[in-house]
Amino acid sequence: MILCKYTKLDRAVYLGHLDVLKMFGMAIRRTAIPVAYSMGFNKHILLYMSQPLSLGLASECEYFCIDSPCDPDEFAEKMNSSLPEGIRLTKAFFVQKNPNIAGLMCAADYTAEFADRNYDPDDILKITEKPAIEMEIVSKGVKKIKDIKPLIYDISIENNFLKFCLACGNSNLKADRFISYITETTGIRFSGFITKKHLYTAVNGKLTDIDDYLGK
Amino acid sequence: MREDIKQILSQVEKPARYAGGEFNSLPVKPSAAIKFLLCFPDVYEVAMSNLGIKILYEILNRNEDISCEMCYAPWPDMAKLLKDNDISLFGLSSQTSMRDFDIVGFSMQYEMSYTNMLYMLDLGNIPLLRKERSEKDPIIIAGGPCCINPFPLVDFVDIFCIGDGEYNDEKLCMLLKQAKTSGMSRADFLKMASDIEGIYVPEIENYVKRAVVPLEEAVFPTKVQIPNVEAVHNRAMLELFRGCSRGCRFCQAGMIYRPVRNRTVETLTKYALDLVKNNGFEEISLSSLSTCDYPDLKQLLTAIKPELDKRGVHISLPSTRVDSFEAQYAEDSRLSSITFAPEAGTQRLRDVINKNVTEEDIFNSMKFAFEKGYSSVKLYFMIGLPTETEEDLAGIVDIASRIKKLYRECAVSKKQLSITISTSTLVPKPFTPFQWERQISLAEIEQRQTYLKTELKKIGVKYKWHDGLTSRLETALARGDSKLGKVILSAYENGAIFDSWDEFFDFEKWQNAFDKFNIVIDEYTSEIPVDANLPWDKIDVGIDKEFLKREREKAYAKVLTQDCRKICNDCGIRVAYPEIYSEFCKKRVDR
Repeated sequence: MILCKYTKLDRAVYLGHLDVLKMFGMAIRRTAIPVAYSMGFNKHILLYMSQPLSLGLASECEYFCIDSPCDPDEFAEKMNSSLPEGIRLTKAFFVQKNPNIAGLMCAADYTAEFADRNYDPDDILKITEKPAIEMEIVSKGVKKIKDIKPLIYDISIENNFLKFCLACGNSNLKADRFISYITETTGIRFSGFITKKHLYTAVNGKLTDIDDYLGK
Repeated sequence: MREDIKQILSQVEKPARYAGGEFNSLPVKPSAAIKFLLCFPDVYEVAMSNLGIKILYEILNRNEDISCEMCYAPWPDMAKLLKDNDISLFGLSSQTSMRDFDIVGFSMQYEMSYTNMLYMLDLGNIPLLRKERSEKDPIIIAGGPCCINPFPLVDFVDIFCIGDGEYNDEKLCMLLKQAKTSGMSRADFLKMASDIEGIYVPEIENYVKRAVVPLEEAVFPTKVQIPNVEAVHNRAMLELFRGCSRGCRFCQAGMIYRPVRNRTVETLTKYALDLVKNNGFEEISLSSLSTCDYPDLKQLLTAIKPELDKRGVHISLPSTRVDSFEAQYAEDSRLSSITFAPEAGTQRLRDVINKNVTEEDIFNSMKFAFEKGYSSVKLYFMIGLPTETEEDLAGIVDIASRIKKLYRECAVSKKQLSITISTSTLVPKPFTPFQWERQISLAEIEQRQTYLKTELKKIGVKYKWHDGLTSRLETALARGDSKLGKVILSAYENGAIFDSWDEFFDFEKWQNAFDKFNIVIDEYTSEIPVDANLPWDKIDVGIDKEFLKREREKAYAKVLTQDCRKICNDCGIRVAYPEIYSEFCKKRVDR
């Protein structure tokens, strides 16, 4: 199987999960790369995507896995000439089986750009110094107060960007919710897209980039 | 991307509708002399299924002096966000505001999209009435089948393209470029535009003759924008020919696209293969008014089938003659359903409308399909056809029950048969032999629908029908005159948008608009005396009014008119477009 890492940037951030799946399907058909199809009544390409990304979030670390006899580099090259703006394959390599990224991942790095320079970095850093960070979460129509502090692994400011690392996977904190929380509590505003930069798995209790973990 | 647009896209449903960046989008040319915004007044997923705008997008962008981008009617949630944030409707590629384009063109495919044109202009901050537009406002143009009778829209549109759009949009752009360079006034530009064949300028009220292009030479797009959100019809579209030789008397398309113009097999084969390679669709639709009439269909299918099979692409063909050789090529492995449009329930009424289909045709096709394993049938009929009686309605029920019987006798599928019957109400359209006919009243529409509902239920057949109020409004707008402009505007001001959507259509908004100006809809739906002047008499489509009258008389006499491929019926086209006629029609007659 070929595991592909891809970006979802610019206008492509507005494509829904299923739209992306269909988009890849059409791109594969355009390139005429041989891939495995389902055997069922309505034949479709067997393409396994990682966890859906929230609509409106940009990412440099999305993954999908596909069964194809094509050389991975050739696969990436052909696909990249057939993908819309913002979607690019940045890595493609052979894997023995689908590594199930959704099950491996436990954290992700994000960046968000400050809308202007009128903010006090301490306002943000102060949040993380609190013993508990209580955020209201509406889940299935029920409002709940949740302490999100254990889900925030790191936070820093660099070149007008807020960089932060949040839990993702089984215990999860959505980056867009976290940013809304900051805006609501501090009044600090952000512009552009929140971008997911790296995806991590835990190896011996240490966060390891999925790519390193897979040896690529 | 514009920051203000980013902000609202994060709040809107299906933001990909407004994001642009579709694969196969053509590059914006910021320094092009003419910026053209091509609009389709319906939601993204519907618009993306339309072939006409894809043809124009390709033609306009091939010209170095023109930069064309697309715009569709935003869903009301987006419209609200645009208004609340004071953002003007914009072109999807460059996010340029509508009012900063030189030309804004609308494709008018159905009457129920008229208010959406106003809705889009309004969201683009462009004065709705052409008289209120100034030198700096874009030129508003419109084309498409509805514009064959432009008069209900003359208050809003500066220029109409009547007939085929392949050449005229580009000609207008080039003329505007020239006008801009020479500092010509808007009024002078409009005057000059009115000299182009196929262009109607309401300000000038010029004589206009429909534009007809030789199809084989015309541009056809084989790289089309791939929608971000799945379109209603997600398939490649190949137009085999334009026009139709059958002459059904209710059918406007069959009249106003004459003469029949075929593309050659060589050209079509190339287009089909390019379409498949460039776009990645799983299905290709061979579309034309009556696709199975394409003279070299077998040859075309033979040529494209191997490559399509290799790529796993289905061919979709209208199944009007499923016992034919061609049907095997279009065979759907899923054997989903077969569709047939007898239009009327008895042979007598089918003769009235010149629908050259016999019961034998219907039942042979059904038998063939059932033996193949099909178990689902869709049938389309019209109600309110001239001379229709209860016997004709009973004929519809009779056909359904005989299909059921046939299925019991010869089906190979073990599934239960599913029959769906849909009826629409005749909308008597301009330039058809039925253009003078009355549309049956709302009470009659509902009474006939109730009859079918009851009778079809008894035999377990699903029944779908078109809303009668919509049909009445369609007739009024299709046969309308310039008096209706104020009614359309008033309906829009009452909140009418997306009228073609059941969940939005509210007849009361229209009724109030008609009432406001003391205009009764019946004025437009009742019979028109045959010697009356018709609003659309001012448009020359190349069809003789005498031919239409003859056809109407033959309808009442139940006399059939032959297919134009067999003999020339002297509809006027031969005289009006001698070059195109001799090239595409006569040759076929001689054969």
